[in-house]
Amino acid sequence: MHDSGKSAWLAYPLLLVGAVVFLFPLVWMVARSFMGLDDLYKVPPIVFPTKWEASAYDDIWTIRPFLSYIRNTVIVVACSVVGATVSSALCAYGFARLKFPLRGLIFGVVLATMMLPSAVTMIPVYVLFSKLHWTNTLMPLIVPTFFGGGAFNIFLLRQFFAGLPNDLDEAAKIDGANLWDIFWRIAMPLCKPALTVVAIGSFMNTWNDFMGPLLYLSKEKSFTLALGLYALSPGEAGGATINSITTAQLMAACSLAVIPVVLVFFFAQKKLISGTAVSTGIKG
Amino acid sequence: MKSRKAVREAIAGYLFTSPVTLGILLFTAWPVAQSLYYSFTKFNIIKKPQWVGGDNYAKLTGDAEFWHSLKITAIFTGVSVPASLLVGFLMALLLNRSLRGIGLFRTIFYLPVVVPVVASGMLWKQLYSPTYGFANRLLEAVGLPPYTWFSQPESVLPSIIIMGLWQAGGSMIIWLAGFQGIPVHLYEAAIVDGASRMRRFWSITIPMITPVIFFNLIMGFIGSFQVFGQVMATTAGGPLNASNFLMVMIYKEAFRTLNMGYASALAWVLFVIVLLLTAFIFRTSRSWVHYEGGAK
Repeated sequence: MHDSGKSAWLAYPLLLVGAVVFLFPLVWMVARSFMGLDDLYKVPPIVFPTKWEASAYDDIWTIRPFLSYIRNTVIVVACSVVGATVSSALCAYGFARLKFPLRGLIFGVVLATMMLPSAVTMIPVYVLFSKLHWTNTLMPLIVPTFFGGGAFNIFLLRQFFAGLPNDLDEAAKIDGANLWDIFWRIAMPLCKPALTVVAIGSFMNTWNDFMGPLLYLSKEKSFTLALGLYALSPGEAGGATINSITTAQLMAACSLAVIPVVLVFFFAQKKLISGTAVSTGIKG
Repeated sequence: MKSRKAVREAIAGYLFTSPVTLGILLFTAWPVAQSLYYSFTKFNIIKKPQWVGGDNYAKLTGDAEFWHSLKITAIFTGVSVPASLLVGFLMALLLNRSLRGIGLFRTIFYLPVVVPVVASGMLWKQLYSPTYGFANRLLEAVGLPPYTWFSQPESVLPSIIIMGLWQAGGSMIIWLAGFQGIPVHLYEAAIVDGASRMRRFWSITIPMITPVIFFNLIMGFIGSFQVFGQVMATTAGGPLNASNFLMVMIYKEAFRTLNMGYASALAWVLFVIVLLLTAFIFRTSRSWVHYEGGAK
């Protein structure tokens, strides 16, 4: 749908206002991380520091073991991205391309799990992991991602696999390829765009995950970045009593947690948006 | 008798889908059953669960804290779901055009959604700070008196809802996808027939987008009944339990006071409410959701 020139020019001022509203909090977060104490507590508040100071970015590493938080987060994210992408692709391929009894019913159950509140499974799953002595390790955050990688991802990939022409496997079978070859060497490469969407989605979900770490991790050496940030929050239960942290340091830590997801999102946004378009287009 | 080929394909099918079937058995089906059992017990994880019959559910009906929590969760859901649908819709309307730079605007409008909840929570605590924040400056600029935001029980709900609207990009993106899924030929035909811009909007866009409204409503209700992260990262249920939403209450019962039996009962009540709400929306959907090309 193309717009007439007039409405287009009316849209720009609104778009600009919107952009300021949505960006402002993030800009202020970064700006505040560069403020000295005088600037932080100015009344009325200021947007940009009068003097830019980067000392918060030097200090936070010694205030809390941020390096260890980041290392833990990277481990969880890397494993989860592999786990979610590979296992959801396997399942999606099965549902899309292979015929077996009860297929429709099982797929229906998979979709229904999306509607189950996590409150219901939270306690028994916690009990399970604590019996395995997995609390305060990264295992509870990693292992479940290898079991299907989430109903939404299976749903999304299934649509892609189902869209591949049937002649492809026929031709491959004639050439002597077995099922695994067809899946791994033919179907997977063809679904790269969708797989990228799943991988990026699980990167962002895992990087941002707060509830999982909050449930399973109580020792600081196993903290992820999200939980480490939470523990920094003044007066938060679960956090040590940290009164010495300044707002600039807090905002610097937040900026560090935000920048990787924002960067990934910027590079991937085209793919993500078209991925959503595909998945919602199906329902109509 | 099935051919050997079909049998082999079926075996392969089960193997390919085995991660998710195992996953559902381990992390969904069994826990759901366990949780139902726990809800009839006294359980603190250290000792074995002790059967108490319906005591937890009986306690729940007389628990003022639970009713308060249910009430604020319902209010939060009732306000924030329609509000963020509406804001997302307006954003999508604005962004659904082919203008120079529109891709960048879409990215910016969506950006808040990818911000980790703990970081956005801390950020909003700063924005809402009565003296050092910008929220009250904004009110002052338009001539309104300062507001108490997170610091008073009566202002905490609106504050959390407004904070949530910052992330309305999540629903915007689904609206956008919906708009773009509407076949162009429908509009072209309407233009040929002389339909006005408004008429095209009400007679084509709205009916064609009802499946998207439906999807957004269902996911929105399910999500906001379980509001948790943004509350823990800001008010942690306070002040004076004013933002002690159901999920926050369940978490505290289970993991702070170790009343896991009672927490399970609360979780089941939450589950039943979500189930009923979803069923209700599904039922009504037949009369207002329009599926192009017949039934879903």
